[in-house]
Amino acid sequence: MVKNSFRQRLQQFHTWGGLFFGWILFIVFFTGTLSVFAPEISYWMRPEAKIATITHQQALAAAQKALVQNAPDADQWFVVLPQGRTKSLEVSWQKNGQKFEQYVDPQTGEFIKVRKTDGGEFFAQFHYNLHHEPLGTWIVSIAGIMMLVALFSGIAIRKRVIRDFFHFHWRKNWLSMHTMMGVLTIPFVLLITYSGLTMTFMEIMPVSLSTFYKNEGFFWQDFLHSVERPRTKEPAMMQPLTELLPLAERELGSGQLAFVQVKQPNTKGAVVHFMRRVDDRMMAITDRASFDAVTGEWLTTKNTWNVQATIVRSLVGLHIAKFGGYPMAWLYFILGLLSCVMIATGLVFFTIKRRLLYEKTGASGNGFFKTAEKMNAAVISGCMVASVSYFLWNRLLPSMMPGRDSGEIFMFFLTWLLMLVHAFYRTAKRAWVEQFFLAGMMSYATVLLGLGTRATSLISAFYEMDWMRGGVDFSLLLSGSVLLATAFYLQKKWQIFSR
Amino acid sequence: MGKIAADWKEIKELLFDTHPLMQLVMRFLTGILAGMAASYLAAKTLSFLNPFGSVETIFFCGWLVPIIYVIAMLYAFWAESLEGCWRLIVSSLALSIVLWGISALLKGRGGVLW
Repeated sequence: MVKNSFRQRLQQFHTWGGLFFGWILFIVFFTGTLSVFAPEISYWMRPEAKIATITHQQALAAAQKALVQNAPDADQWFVVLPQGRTKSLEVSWQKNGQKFEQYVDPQTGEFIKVRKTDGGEFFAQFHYNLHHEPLGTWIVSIAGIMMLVALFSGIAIRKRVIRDFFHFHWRKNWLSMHTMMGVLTIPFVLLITYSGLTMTFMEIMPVSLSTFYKNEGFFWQDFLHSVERPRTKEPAMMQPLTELLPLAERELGSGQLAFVQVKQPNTKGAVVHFMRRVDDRMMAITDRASFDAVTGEWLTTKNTWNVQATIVRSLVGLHIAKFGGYPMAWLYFILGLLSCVMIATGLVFFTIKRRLLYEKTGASGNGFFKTAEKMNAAVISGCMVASVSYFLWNRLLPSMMPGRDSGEIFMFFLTWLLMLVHAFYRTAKRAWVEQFFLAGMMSYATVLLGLGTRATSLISAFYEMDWMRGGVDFSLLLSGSVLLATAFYLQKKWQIFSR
Repeated sequence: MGKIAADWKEIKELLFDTHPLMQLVMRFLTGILAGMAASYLAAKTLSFLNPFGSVETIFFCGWLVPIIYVIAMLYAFWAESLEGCWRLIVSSLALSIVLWGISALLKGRGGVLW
């Protein structure tokens, strides 16, 4: 029996754990990086929902009018006010366990016909549940644990390279690029992975929660000191929400509200909760003020939080990066991309190195590394093609097609599946070049297709100084150029199509 | 009895002491299971002790559990022999079951024992 030292075992962990979990981690980091700009992506994907700048008074009056007309007997109303990076007025309501969502025109209080899409929220959810709860969340959580251990093992086994990094003795080879990127992104990867794990573990392993409470709802009620009243059907005339708004602003700050929730609307038991924005501070929890919606009486304000809650919700805030505005969002985006490069270079150059070694020595195992190389292409470039296709299909599918939100997601997975088949059908080198080329062309095609209508056109976005929409189009053009340049660079290097 | 002992020895050798690749796979699996067992036990024990009140204890477990999981995973690679890890898994699971049973009997809002 061969006994290895702890360092050797860590080396083995980093090598093999890095390969198998690296595929999942790349997907998680890449889609997570995209979700930093989830509000902008959602805005770009729902161009019809855009509204002119309005006051919260106007927005709330329009929202209440729309809800009274369309959902007077709902169990609950919810209004997302235009605030910060949210440039639309969204209302939703629940009735008999079913949830409905609509966008409202603040001038008329009528619903706007908006294309159905999951928008940027798809990437945000996919990066922690792989579109398959709870199994996906478990897989992502275990991959996250592996990431943290890989971080420690990487530091332990690459001490010299890390020392060289800080002495500016940078080596110019691709495997060192993985290490260098790793060193550069250590604090970010540590922070983002650990904070992500605190979120997913509360979901997949709610041991403590289930010890104290029957379900999660009771926990949140207790935590938020939420006013809960017994269900009643007795009708009652509610106060206009706009009249309660100044009272709520006195409690939570003028112009700082982001959400309004009404429980049991139009009944004697109606309670309205006004919630504060969370995008101007690190702690991701909404302060709230509650009122009796019929009498207008102030009931409670919750804006102080205990130590442990502050720790966890600050970690959540650090993960979702809603604070700090665009500079912070771009910092997270760039560090996220660098982390993706770190994972991708680790995957790609380890497999190439191993395959060459096996080829040289003639040992068995060569086939495995050839397959791993194809898998690398299917995961890395395949994920990029699938993500771009998600944008492309948003522009291709008819706006009012029934079930178009599921259609976009279906096309995302179908494209990815095709890329997997393509990677195994071609040689690894061809797969890389062709998939990068395809992703680049699809990025350009998406922007070109948008030119067809005023609501989606890049030119009109610049003309109207709509930087949120124009920014997504511009980012697509930029990423398309980078992807095409990579494809041409690799083609030139490998000379695949000249043979 | 002698046959069972001999069989167990054989299984043990097969699982823990054979091919290096098998050892590595076993360390991964053991780490994942040890992490689950240890973090479950820690969260359950803390819920029993309830040091900060129900809501705060839940949040406390929220940030503590991933750390325990990482430590258990590192332990699976640090341990010379995987037998120690399996002892950890089995004892954690046994204790968790005991705690789970007690909490099921004494379940109530705002704390289990205190």
